[in-house]
Amino acid sequence: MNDFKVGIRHMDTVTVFDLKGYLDAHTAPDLEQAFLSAIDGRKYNLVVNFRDLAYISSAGLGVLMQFIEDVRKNEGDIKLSNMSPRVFNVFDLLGFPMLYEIYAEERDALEKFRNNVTHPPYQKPDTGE
Amino acid sequence: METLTVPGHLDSLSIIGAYIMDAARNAGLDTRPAYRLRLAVDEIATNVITHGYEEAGKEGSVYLTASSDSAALTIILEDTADPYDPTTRAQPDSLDLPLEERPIGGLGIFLTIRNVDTFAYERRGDRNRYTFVMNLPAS
Repeated sequence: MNDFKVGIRHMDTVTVFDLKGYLDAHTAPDLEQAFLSAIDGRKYNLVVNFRDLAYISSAGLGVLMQFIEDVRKNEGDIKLSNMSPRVFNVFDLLGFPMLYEIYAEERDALEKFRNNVTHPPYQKPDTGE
Repeated sequence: METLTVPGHLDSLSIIGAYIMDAARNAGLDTRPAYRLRLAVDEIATNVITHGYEEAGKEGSVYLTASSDSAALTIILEDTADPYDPTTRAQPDSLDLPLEERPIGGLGIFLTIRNVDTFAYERRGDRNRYTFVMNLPAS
């Protein structure tokens, strides 16, 4: 059996998820639960650290998509860090770098939250309505 | 390699992944393309199990067969779910859609097609047959 684990750390106002192992359609519900527990606790500043993640399929990306609107409506964000090239490649193929901030190091993602920078790439285009 | 038969449940994905990585190692495929092949097969297996079996209220198995020659490694995945040809639905158009409107299932099929050298679908008798080919580097 491939294992998947989510560790949760609280860094100041930011909740960090440490992913480990294999994230596929079978294990994605574990990540979903971790996000739900953070959001239930009204934590919306979230960083996902992929350092120890060996594998991801689209089901894992689906979890990120499932929560991002809700998190941003509450003036938070989901930032991603420490991806291996093979994990990054999956995000890249699906156009996620346009939609999520992806950092080489977790500390850069934390710094962004600390500075409370707003992120133009995430705003929907002005349709003139 | 001998055919792998696993129940059509999501907890079979890890066994399927291990089978693909073994086949890749035996065929002399590098780690990077091996990972891409694993992803491609995983996405189709996930669709088969989730939509073909679980959502349809069906029980069935997933059958995997690996074979290779000096030119390529071929994986064949079969199931007994209703006919389903993903190649007719693999439009990456959804990448232009707003985030909340993207269908994630379609993205999985897109990943499959982008990550292998050849992907094909055919219906054979009561089975869907998906073929994945990775070309091997010339030695």
